[in-house]
Amino acid sequence: MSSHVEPAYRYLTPEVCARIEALRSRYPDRRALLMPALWAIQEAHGWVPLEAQTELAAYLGVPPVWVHEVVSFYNMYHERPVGRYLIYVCGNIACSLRGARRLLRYLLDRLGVAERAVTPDGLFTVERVQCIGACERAPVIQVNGEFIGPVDEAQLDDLIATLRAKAREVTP
Amino acid sequence: MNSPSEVRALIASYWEDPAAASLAGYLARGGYEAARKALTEMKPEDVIEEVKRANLRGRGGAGFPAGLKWSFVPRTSPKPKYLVVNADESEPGTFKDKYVMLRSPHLLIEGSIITAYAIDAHVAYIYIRGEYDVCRVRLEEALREAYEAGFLGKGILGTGYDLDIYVHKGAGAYIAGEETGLLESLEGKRAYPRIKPPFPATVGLFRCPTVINNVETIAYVPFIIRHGGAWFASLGTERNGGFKLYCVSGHVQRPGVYELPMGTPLRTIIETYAGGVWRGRRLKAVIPGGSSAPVLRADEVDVPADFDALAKAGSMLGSAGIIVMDEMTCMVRALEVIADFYADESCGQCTPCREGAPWLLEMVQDILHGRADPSYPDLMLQIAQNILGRTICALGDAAALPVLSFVRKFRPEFDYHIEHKRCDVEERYGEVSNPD
Repeated sequence: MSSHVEPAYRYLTPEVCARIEALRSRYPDRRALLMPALWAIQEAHGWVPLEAQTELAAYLGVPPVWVHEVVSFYNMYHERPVGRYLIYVCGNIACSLRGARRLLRYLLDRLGVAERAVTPDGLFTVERVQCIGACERAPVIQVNGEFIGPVDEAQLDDLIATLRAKAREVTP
Repeated sequence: MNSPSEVRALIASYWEDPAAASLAGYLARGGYEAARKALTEMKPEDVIEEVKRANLRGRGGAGFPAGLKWSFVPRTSPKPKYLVVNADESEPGTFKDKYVMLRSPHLLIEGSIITAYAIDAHVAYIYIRGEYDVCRVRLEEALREAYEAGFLGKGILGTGYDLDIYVHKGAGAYIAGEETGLLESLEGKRAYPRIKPPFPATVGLFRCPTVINNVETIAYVPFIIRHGGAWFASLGTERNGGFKLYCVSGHVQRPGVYELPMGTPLRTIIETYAGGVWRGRRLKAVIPGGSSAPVLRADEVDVPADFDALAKAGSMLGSAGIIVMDEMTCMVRALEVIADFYADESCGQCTPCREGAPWLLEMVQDILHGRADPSYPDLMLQIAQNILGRTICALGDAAALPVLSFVRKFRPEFDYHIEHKRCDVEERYGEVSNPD
């Protein structure tokens, strides 16, 4: 017998649990905590692995399928890891009228990566998304939630260079 | 403040000064005076009557009279009542609520206090789309300020009225903007719209009476309480009270949000305010109310942009997402983008929408890529007709209406693509504005 006790949860760290508990009084029903709890997990770990979903179900005392059906329904929960910079490229009507479809192809070519994959350096994931509510800045992209637009090819080049430099600063 | 005689902007008047986003800046402009008036001088029923008089119609797209909606909440119900603010702005071409939250968050909070008081709710949730995290951060800041100043929490403004407002972050699903889909989502489930009746006013969030209103609708409430419902009604057209936030995008010189009197002619919004069609080109078509609204040809835009006039013109005001297309736009490609959206966002509950929307997308793609035969346009009309009105929520209609209007109004472009396996617009101009 070892005195070492395995932590019960790998993804539901004390910090994540504290965030969930801070929200509990907001809802009369624990199932309503699911989406905020999934956000807390994703913000801590970058994605929501299946194991984290199972842990959350156990923690809240709900069937695992309740968690998984939510994760698989909403586009913004990542079931696989994404790059440090998640770039959303809007391809909907207002943006496509201003050439967004070409920009998406340009960005994927420039990074040499398939949509939704991660570049080998772990820095970038590019995803075509539906309207993100910034049509006045079409063609618009979002980098980790920040709106940038209107953008053209040259600005995308600059952006990639800037983000790479920023990553080098953070990780020597 | 009494009724201002000449009004150029209401909500947007707060956008000219960045300081108006903070509590201090908002208070300097008379902020929270309307909430004080409602909570200390008016009964909840009086607030509802004032909003009914204002002819304030829901700005999320359906245009349902807000005061009437509030009056459906059973006052004697022993259950808690909820206010839910729909900040899931997701209809393509729509981006007004984002500005309300970024630049005038306290206006939304004050409107929520008044609305919650009117329906006897003590908890309100603001359901905000996950992609609007910048707005969520700003709203959370504003809520903190409002709590500290005693505008939220226990005993608001020294009265016996309590209210908590919580922000709830969505995670990327267009259907969560449908009001009952939103309720399901808030309850921690997939955003599957509910069969109605019962309507949310009686069986809503957590099976309790609930009012759901769009951000813009709520943001106009403080003005109505300050200056009166009759004054607000007089700013617009018959049965369409007040001002409206119009979103203009696409091929115009100055895309953006323009706040104008309800019923401002569509052509004026595009030409005078948004600067007209870009690059000196001619106008070809306009979608007046978000991408689900039937498209109008250039010769059909001399119409007041309000709920009733646009309905009469065969389209709809919807979310007032005005999408402008120039003469070099390939309408088949434009429809492909729209069809892709509704096929992608169908929640899958109802067969006509789940199956029909992807069929429509595949058929437009076949036309675009030279794989269609001449029967396609009629077949598309038939499929669209068979989705229309046969689904739980309006997403089915949203998938069908663009197809019906694009195919009927621009039929020669579709036929040309099918017959010649080339784009008529591209041949005439050498290129199109909306390349693949």
